[in-house]
Amino acid sequence: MTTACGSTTSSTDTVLTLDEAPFGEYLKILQKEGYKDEAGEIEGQCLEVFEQLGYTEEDLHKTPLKNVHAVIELYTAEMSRQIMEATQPVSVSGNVLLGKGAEELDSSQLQYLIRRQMQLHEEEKLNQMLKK
Amino acid sequence: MSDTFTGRIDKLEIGLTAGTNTDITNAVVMNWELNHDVRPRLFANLKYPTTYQQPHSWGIGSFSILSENHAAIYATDVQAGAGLQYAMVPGADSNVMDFFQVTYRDANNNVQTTRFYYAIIYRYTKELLNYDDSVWIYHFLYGYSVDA
Repeated sequence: MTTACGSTTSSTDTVLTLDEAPFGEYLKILQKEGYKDEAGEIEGQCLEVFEQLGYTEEDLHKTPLKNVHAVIELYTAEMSRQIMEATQPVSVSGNVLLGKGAEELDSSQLQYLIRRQMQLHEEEKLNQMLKK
Repeated sequence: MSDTFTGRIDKLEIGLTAGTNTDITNAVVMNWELNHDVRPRLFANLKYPTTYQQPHSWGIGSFSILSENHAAIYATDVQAGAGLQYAMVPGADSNVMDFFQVTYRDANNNVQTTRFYYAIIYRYTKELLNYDDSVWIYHFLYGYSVDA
């Protein structure tokens, strides 16, 4: 058997470690060992992350297990960062009102928007003051 | 520092008069504040001021609305007696709005209004929140405002 990089391997070399096995294979191994992921919890949680990132169930099944782990770790870290950012207090000046449109946005989007709008407001105020 | 009202916006009104205007109901966030240009008046040869001049007061604010509902700003006549004059004209000057008012509830659910005189939108920026949602932030200047 010749690999893409030209070296010759025997068929035994193609045996993958569990970590390198595609996620779909990993699920089969679990089933063989008698572990029944009946509620689909493992698959469901991984799939949720993959779909959030724009991938499909098919992509998940093809991805090596270690990469699935890495993706989920990165995703979790990013989510934590966003939650941390969204829960920091927002400084505002002058009169501030929220409208009905605010109900269309989730809280992290709204926090982001308020922070951004206030930041722009402060910049604009300074610009106007310096124009004179 | 001006009062801070913590209530909800019922609507933004933009147009010619209280009777001729377009309501914008899905504002997200709005803020405004009055600023004073204060200059010290100094004694000759002294560094500390004897008094202050306040030659100019002006207000600045911003409001954001969900992007699919911003047509009113381009399509509502806002200056009487000058033909169709919109608050914003693509590729041209903005116009001062004859009638620009926000209606909102105070903390006790009483209806309040604040009308901005000589308001003009001078800058707008688009914020993309995700693939589906975007919000336009409009910055405006005004001469003074009257609460009612």
